[in-house]
Amino acid sequence: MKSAVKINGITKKYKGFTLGEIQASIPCGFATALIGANGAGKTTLIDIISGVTGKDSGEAVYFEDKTDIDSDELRELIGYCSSANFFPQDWNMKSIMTSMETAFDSFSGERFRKLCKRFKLDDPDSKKQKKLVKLSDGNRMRAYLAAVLARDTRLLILDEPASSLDPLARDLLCDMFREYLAQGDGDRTVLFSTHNIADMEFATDYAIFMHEGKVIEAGFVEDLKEKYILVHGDAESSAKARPLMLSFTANSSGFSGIAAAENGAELSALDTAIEKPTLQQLSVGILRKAEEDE
Amino acid sequence: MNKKSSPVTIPQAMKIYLGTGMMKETLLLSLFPLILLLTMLVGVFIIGLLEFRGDFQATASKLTGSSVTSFIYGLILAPVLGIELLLTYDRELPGGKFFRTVRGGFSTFAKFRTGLTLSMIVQTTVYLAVVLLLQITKLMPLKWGVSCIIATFISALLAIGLCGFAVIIKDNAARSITVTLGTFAVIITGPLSLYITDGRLTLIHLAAAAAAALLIFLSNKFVLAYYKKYRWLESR
Repeated sequence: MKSAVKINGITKKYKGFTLGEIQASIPCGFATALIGANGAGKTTLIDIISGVTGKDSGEAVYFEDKTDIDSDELRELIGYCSSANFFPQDWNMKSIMTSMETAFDSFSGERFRKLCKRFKLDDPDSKKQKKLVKLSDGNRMRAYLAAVLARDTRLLILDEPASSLDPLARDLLCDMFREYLAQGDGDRTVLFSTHNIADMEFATDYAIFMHEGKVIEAGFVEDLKEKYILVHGDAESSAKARPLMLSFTANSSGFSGIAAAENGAELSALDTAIEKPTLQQLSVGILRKAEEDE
Repeated sequence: MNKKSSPVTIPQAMKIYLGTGMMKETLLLSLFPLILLLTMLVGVFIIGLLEFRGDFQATASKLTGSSVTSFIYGLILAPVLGIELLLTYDRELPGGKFFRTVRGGFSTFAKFRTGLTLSMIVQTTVYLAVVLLLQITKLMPLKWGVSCIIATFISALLAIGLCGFAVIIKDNAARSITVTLGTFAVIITGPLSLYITDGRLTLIHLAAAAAAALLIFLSNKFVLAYYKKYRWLESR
């Protein structure tokens, strides 16, 4: 399978935190979610592969054969956006458009205007426009997304794009991901980080789970849903079920948690209900297991 | 890392970093100290008129030629230059991450900083040209006349050169204070020097002008090299 980004042994050390070694592959043509708790290293990894932060060792290979993230060619192909203060806060839509038009050949002012309208933002050509600092967190994020989506890129790298969006806006963002990928005909990729996958589940094809600077699990969502099961049972069988579970939550009436599918038969025998987990449930299970293993 | 020069020009780099054209931004920034100057003049005259009970001539003769006025012109310019010298867009600051992904990368940032330096010199020139006009029309003549204007111009260039080095200070607050106070301190040396030379421009001023040109060149080069190595891709 073609990869949009192949991450080979990337490491980065900060005071009190080490990222890596990271070995991962972002499959081409799909939307990949980088999932982890706060402080897991998602932003650090995303910043490194976007060329925003330096790395201590390792390399990233883009589109099978490109390695120099500083080259203008790669900068044109990659659309990066962070969630916090991405643009100077005294800018308005017109400033964003002026800067982006000069900074990127692939930026389309026309497309930006259409996206501003779709996201209910100020028209970049209007005389009265609010500065970014005066916008709500959600509208600010919409402005950042409009700017990056107005470019013709092959890879979108978005750091926590959904964190400040309302549910309707998150749904719109999922639609935009699907449109972006469909227009690329298998040649476009989306990589986004999130600590709350619930609202982005339907836009996610591939998931990479991170904990304490390491990748702990990765795979296509459908494959992961076959690899793991969601188990519910009553309190009587909780003690027998617990050793077979990866994550476990119990109260007086029963228990639930994630288990490996290979333990399905044994768990079924304990009079439990087994179902396919959602990506949200999977995330909680996998990350909780990682925490307990520390 | 790609060592090729960015194809981005200085005006384009300014557009990327400021979200507006270089000319427009320079003109707007030139207006700011002029507005402060006008406000100061109006305020001082109103106070003077109250003091001298409407006798405009007495007010004007008291205010003009005052050595204090000579310092005020420089002090108005100082905060404007200070604010611009602090524009480094560290990664953690608004815009920091965006600018690290644009065409040309660090090369574009270097061109922006060069453009900003040129812009500051133009703003200083425009501002002091207006002060010169006030001098020539005798609306607000200075104690040492044109010498004061030239001395202030030289000290403003010295401030741009010297305080440019201060942007490498790691701590945000310490950097802001150093650049702001440093700009003030250096700019007032211009009018101050005229006390020593009895209002005349001497070889000291010529040497200071040459030093200013060299410092502007060196601080740009040094700061950019330092910034590229320690701050462009790394956290502080």
